[in-house]
Amino acid sequence: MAAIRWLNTLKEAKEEAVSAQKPIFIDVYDPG
Amino acid sequence: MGAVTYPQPEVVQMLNENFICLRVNERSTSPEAVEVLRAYRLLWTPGFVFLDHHGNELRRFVGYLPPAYFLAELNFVLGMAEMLHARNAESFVHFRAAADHDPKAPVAPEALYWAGIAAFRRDGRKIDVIKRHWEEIRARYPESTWWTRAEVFDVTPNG
Repeated sequence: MAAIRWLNTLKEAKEEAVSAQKPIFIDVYDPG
Repeated sequence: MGAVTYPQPEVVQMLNENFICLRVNERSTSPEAVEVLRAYRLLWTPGFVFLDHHGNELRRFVGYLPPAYFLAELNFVLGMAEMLHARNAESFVHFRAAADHDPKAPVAPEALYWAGIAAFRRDGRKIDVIKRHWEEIRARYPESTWWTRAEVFDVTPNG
């Protein structure tokens, strides 16, 4: 089953966003 | 979100194809998590922030959304991202998708408002264009605050 590709660091996300010209989606969650 | 919305195939596809996704545990003390938590200071979980590829904040909200409402929000954010870079035709398509994906989605009336602005800018700033789209807010969501905001233009057919 396909899954969302989550990154772990803001640095990584910003670099990929610039490269792919895509917006960044940040989910802050409480593991409960 | 992890139990219901994120596993939904349409949500997976939408996120993987159109966004760079970052997930942060609010309770983590890792330097990587703390950097995000300090930078965006969300006041509740689940909390969501969207940035354009330059890091400009596009939208934020808190709280669970079912798949259909979340997909509408994602289309809305894509509309905002395109509008920020003056791609008004593309922006209009995303705002219309946000408004039409599920007419009950809470973001739908706001999406119609912005669809009107995108169409206005796309079509040479003709006031009739924005009126036509905003009239749809009156017809579909007369109790919405977005109709209150649009009404000032008097978009009624004979207005």
